[in-house]
Amino acid sequence: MQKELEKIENEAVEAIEAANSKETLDSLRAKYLGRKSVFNSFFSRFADLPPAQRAEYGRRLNSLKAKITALIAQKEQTFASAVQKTLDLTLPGEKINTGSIHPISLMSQKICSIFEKVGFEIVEGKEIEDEWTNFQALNIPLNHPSRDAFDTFYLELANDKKYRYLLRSHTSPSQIHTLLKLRPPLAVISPGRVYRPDATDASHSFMFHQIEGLAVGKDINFGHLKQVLLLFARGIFGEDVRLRFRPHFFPFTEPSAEVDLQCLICKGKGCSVCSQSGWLEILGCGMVHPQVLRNCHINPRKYRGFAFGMGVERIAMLQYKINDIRLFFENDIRFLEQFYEI
Amino acid sequence: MKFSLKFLEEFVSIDIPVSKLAELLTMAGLEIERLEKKGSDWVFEAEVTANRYDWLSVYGIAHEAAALTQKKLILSLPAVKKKKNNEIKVTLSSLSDCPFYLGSIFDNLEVKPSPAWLRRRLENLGIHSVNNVVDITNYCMLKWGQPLHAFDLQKIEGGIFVRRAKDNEKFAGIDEKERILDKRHLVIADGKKAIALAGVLGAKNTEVSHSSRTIFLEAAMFSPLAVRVTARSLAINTDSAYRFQRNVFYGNLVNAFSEAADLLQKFAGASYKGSIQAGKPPPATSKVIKFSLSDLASCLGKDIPSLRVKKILESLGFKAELKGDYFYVRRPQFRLDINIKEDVFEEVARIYGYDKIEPQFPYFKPKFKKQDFFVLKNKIKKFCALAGFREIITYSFANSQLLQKVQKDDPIVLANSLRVQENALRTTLLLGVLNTAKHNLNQQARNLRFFEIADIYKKQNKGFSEQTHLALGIAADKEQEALALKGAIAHIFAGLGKKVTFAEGKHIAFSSALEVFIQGERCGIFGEVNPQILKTAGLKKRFFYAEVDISGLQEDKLFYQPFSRFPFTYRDISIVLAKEKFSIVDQLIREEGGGLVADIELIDVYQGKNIGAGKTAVTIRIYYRAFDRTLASSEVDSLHERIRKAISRKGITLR
Repeated sequence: MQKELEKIENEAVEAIEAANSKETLDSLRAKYLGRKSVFNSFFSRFADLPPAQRAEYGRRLNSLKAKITALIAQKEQTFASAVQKTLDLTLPGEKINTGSIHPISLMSQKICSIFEKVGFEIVEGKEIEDEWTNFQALNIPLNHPSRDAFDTFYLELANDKKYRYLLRSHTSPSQIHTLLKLRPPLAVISPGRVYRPDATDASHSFMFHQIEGLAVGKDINFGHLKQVLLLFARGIFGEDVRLRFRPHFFPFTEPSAEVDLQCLICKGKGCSVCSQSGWLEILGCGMVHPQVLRNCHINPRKYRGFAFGMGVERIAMLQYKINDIRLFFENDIRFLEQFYEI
Repeated sequence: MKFSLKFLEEFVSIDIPVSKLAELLTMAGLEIERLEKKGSDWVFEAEVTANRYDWLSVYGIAHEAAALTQKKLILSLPAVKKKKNNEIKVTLSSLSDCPFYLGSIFDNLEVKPSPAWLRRRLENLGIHSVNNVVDITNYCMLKWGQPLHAFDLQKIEGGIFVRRAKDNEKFAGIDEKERILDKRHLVIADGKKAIALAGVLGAKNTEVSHSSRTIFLEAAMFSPLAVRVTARSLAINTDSAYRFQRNVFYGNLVNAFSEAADLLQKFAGASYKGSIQAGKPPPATSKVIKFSLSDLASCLGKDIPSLRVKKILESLGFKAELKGDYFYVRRPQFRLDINIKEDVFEEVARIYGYDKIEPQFPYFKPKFKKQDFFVLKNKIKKFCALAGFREIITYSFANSQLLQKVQKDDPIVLANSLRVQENALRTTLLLGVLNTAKHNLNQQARNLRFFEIADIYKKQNKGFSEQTHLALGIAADKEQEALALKGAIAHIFAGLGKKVTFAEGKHIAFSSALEVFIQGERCGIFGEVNPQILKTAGLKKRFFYAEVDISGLQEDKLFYQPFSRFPFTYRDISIVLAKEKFSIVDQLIREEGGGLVADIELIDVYQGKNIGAGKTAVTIRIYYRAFDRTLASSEVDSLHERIRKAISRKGITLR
């Protein structure tokens, strides 16, 4: 019997070792450990042994059964890990087809939300305006060189007023609408499309986007303007930006300034991006001209304000390092898909 | 405006590096865009803002440079005594067109090349040297900001007239171009012909040449508006017209004349024969501008000591007197751009330094108003992007004829369009979305789903209307994409708490279409764009498109809806539709099913030989569930059977 057991042990170990599929292993499990298994037949032969040998024989039988159970379990593990190994994770990942939001929309939203945090409200104007709102009310006289900067698309549209209809050439008319509608104190920000008949090239487009800001109150000053614009620049370009306020002229502000951003590439040392000047012009601003307030029936002795205006494409081009304004309006998917943010 | 260091040094000695000077000028408002070494000289290129006509002269810039470097201006004016001459009569037809005219006669002169220093002065600034006479007039214009013009006196026939041109009057300029004039144009004429476009361009017929011996030198003031209209309507840009449009100053007119007279005698051997004057020089103004120091401080947000204010203003040539708390200021004669106290504030601030004004936080009262449209549009954009559509921004213009093929309205036309492709304001967003699809298709792109939110414009009885539209488009081969679009529309507006419904519709741009209703209000169209339009647009795909007016849309509040936790069961139905639309079946199922129909899902659509021409087989899956119990299989079976019978009663074949 002893020999018989040894033989079965060797046979079983060998068979388990050689098993090359789960099925073979399952049949081996049935053969050695199942109800009608070899072992069970050995157990049933207890009665034939003398009582003195029974305990020893039982121990040996149990340990052999445990050994074979363990061997089968171990072998089974190797099959399981072999199955996992067939998953090749180096295959290319699936392309996720989501939609996207246009970078100009993203930038407008970002800029507006910065000003909203400081207390500005968003108001939007119409794109069709008349000459009075686009020019005269903003202290830009008809036929004056200060109007050269604002070439304008006129519309063939019957009009019973004395001013011709046009497409707004800047978002500044929203200053007029706001001042005529709301009473100070007020602070508004106004994003939108504007139009100028410029021939299209890498830096010009006959349609682009601006954001106008206006704050009017009893104690608004130039220092406030500087602070608000500094917050904006930090919010968009980062904490360590530097701004430079340079005297300039706009018919609708006095004093006026252009704001330069220290070049993001060379940090002011001078490079090809900033034409060696170290600075990049980003917006125009100033204290609201008293005539503009008067045109809107607001007393400039009581109220003062500041206003600013910026081109969204310009800011987006600086921020994302885009070198051609036409990319925004070509709407090529390879361009659009780079702007993930929703 | 170009000027050079050497030219500047005729007025002020500069003892700081040129780059430092450029920075000082830039930060004072005269932006130096380029600085370049030319021989032993430095050339500055400056951007002069429209208000600072005085910076269109080296004199004006020197004045600023002197103030910034705390130097005295060197003024050595040539002593030329003006004398009268009555040889020629000058007639001004309108004092508003030409308030003042000074003409002077020089004879015995020799027209020849200019001396080297004069040539260099001009050529360094990019002005081509012509001859001594022309060069002297250019030099004086650059120096004093007053344009001058020299005529060959021998070619002038009987007197000088400053008048409006006659309609169809011909004019040949020294630029060799012929122009036809009209009453808008201001000209200088003799008894027979126009000899110059006033302040803009001289005529060929009286040009100074090498054979000229006698010249008539003009120094005049013209209406900036008249010069502007003349120059712009004829599309002529000259240094002279540029300056006259921005203003000239009488004091510098006299200086320019004296300097020219002096140089003509020195470098052309001319003798001065006296001058003829017409009109009146404008009276010297001495307006007093009054402001308080506290007013200045409240505008700038910075207290600047009164002594500092006084010193700044005086360095710029202002007279400033402090009486009590108030400043009484008189502008320099040539600073015609200074008129109100805010103009003076800017002068103080720009010299004091904008950078020395500290930023400070303003306080704005928070406003708790209802959500604005901008925020709502951003929400819609997010929903569209989440539904797989890419936002595009396309031009607001289109071709008027093309527009009328896709939208019946008569579009608003541009009076000065750049190109015929973009000669009208769009009445629909369709063409922009189609163009984008076509562009991307040509680039071999896939997954062509786009949206745009933009305004459309229409003519109204009086004036116009401008509405904000949402456009969604899918270019694809499979018609299931139409249903993807339909689902997206419902999904997008559900995000705003709005229910979308559809009804039969017709539209010139669509081969099949449904009208779109939001909360029961008709506001758009959805369907498949007809092949004719796609052919015109050059798009070789099927195109499914929706355009919805979202103007004035407001978000509805979202409330939680209870849902059933009991299991659902489904049953499928296959039907064959002939002329009927599926909407009838949908309606029947919901009516019969009462509250137990949770959803209807499309499983399959089939058209083909097996079911006959013009017919469509549709398989749908109806989901049943109750809110208060698990539905028994027998209950679902009998309900489903009732629905089948109801459909059958409408004459629709069940398969």
